[in-house]
Amino acid sequence: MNTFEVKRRDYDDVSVLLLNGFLDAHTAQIFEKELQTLVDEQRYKIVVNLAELNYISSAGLGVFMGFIEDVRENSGDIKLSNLIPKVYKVFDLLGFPSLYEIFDKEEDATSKF
Amino acid sequence: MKKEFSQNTKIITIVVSVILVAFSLWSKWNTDIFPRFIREAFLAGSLFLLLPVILKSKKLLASRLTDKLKNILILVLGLYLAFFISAFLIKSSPFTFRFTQESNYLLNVTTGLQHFVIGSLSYLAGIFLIVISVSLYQLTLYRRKKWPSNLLKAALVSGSITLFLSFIRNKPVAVEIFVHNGNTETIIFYVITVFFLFLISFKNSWVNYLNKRQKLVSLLSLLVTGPLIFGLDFINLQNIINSFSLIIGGAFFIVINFLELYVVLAFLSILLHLPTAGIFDRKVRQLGFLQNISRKLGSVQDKDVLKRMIIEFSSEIIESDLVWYQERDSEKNEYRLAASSAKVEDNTFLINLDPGYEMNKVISKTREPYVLNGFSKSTGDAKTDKYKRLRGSLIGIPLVSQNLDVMGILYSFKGTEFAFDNEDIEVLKAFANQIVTTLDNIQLQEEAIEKERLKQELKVAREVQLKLLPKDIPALNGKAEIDAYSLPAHEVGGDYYDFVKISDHKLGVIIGDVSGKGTSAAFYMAEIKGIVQSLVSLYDSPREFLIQINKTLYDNIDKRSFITLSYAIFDTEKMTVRFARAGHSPLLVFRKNKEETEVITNLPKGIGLGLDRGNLFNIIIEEKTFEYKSGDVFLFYTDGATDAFNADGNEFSEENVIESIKENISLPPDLLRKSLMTDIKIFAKNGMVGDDITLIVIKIPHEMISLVQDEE
Repeated sequence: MNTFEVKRRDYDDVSVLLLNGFLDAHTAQIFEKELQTLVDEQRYKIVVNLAELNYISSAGLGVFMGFIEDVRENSGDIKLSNLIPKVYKVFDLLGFPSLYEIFDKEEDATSKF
Repeated sequence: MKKEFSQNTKIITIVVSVILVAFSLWSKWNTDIFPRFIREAFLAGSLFLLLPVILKSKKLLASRLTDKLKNILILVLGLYLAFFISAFLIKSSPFTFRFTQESNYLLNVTTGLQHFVIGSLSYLAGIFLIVISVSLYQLTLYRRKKWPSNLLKAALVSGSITLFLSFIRNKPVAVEIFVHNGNTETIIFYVITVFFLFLISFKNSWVNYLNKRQKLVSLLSLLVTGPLIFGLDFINLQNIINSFSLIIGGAFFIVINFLELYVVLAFLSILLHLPTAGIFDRKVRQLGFLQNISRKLGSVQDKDVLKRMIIEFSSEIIESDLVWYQERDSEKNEYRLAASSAKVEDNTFLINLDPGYEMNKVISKTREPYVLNGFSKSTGDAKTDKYKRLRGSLIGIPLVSQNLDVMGILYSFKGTEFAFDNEDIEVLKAFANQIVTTLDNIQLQEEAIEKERLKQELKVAREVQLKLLPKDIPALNGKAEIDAYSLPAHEVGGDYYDFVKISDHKLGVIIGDVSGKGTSAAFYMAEIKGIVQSLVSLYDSPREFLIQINKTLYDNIDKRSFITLSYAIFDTEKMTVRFARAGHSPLLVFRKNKEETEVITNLPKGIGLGLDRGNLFNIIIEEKTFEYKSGDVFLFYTDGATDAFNADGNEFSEENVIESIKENISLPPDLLRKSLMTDIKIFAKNGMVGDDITLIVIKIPHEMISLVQDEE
């Protein structure tokens, strides 16, 4: 079984989620739960750091899509950072760079808020 | 060994017995004709013959305990009746006291009628003896199988010897034998017999199995029967019998003594058991309940029904005032009142009983029953300043599953102190175990049903899906060779492909990938096919087509789901392709030049369908038109091909796809596809087949001289 975990760090009103491992249909709910927690806490300024993410499937991509509307309606955003080339390719093929702001470094993303 | 008695045998037996009886009765009339022993022999013989008939008779030997006692009483009364009639007929004084009787036991019998009367009475007494003895003995053997026991054999042997001696000495077995001399042997054997009978009389365990009511009834009937039996000592019955037969008379004496002993001991036994009768009844009832409950629980399949049954049964099984069940939510580790025998208003009563639900915590930790066998709690209403003292006993039993998880706690309250004893706790524990087993069973059943349901669902989805994929590839008059193939990763896939014959020389090729897997992906696939079918003929432009699809799809798809799609229109006349891509994998075109094979990766801009309502989608999506030549090979694929993993965690990747096609470029489309699939499978041999793989290979054949006139 592929492993996946999420770590969270809060800076003022921005929360950073660090994803680690494989994000697929089985592990997507872990990521989903974390985002749900942030939304429940009304923390809508979110950066997702994908430095340690090795793989993402359509189920994982779907998790972002499930929250983005709600987050943006509350004047927040989900910004992505530190994508490895292999993962970036997946996002790119689908057209995510047009939908989300993607940065090389986490600091660039957090400072954008 | 059972002796089966047919009707004929019975009739013969009775007839022979009657003849013997008649002889023995008649022989007395002529006192000198037959010696005594022949008469006794006829008597004994007839009774012996009648013995099996009596033993088989259900009416005489009742099976139920209280009926047996009743029958004994009836027999005794019958005996009294027969005696009084006989005493009147032979003009003898009916009353006497045996213990003062002298040796003049013989009555003055002269007339034939008198002979007949005392003979008949003796016979009646003989039958009475047999029935009584057998009934008594059956009582001693209640619920035991051993017949005859050693004690009985001993009693029979010494009894027979006593009677034999009495016959030889021509002296009756009666009180007199203790008074007169010369009877020493008879006395010895008589005492031995009585001793054995005394031991047998202790066997009255049947008393234990009577319920309270039956005990009282038995007591009453013994109180009536007892004096009657002792009363036999005060009537002349035995003398009359002895005048006719010493053996019957002696047997009568011994059996009456046995009866007296037995009745006294049985009476005392019942008396001593009365105080505990209630407890015994309760235990028997509890056992019955438990058996009944386990049967009923076994058929329960609904948790709510189970909860109600828990309350119902608990109230029965230990006679409590209040029963309630706290169910535990294992995720939140909280308890919730799931069922109770009290009304909802009484919930405050329960809260007052255990504020803060401390008992829940203790029991959760120890997983053992918790008993408060007597507490006195003040429940106050501060406003009115009224205080009530709540007295009672409380017991809490945890329902612990196999993996030591506490599923819930069963509480029982009674308004008296020290109301629950150890047996009650044991019974409740047994009951709790049964509930846990039932809960586990229900759980397993639910899981099994769910599993089966899913299996069926997937099966149906797969069948539907197979029908949605194209059966045939449209022919294009040999202008293009096409192979299409789809391999789902699971029972149901999310890949989609289709061919649309737009005209004689125009073919639309669609390939797509629905995000996710399983039945939801299959449904979106069906949806997309529907939308495609309805729109494809309306739009010449792949770009316009995809824009429309996105517009329609966006409102009909879950926000977490999306679909990638590529659409290419082949115009075989102009030899052009119009191509647009919505987030899907690129279209690869392989062109064989002299030296090498060129690869063109067509990746026009376009985001996936269902991600955006149209604002972004429409702006971003591009359309590309390009020409193709004979010999060109087109490859449409889904990301299952490039994403296939091997055991090291490496992907097959686009590079390997390109390599594989390049190597086999000369092959026809189907073989080309097969070799690519083989390469992928070999690569991912020990890794994951994570996603569906769909491949469409289109090869443009080299021009042939066509025999059919082409349109210019």
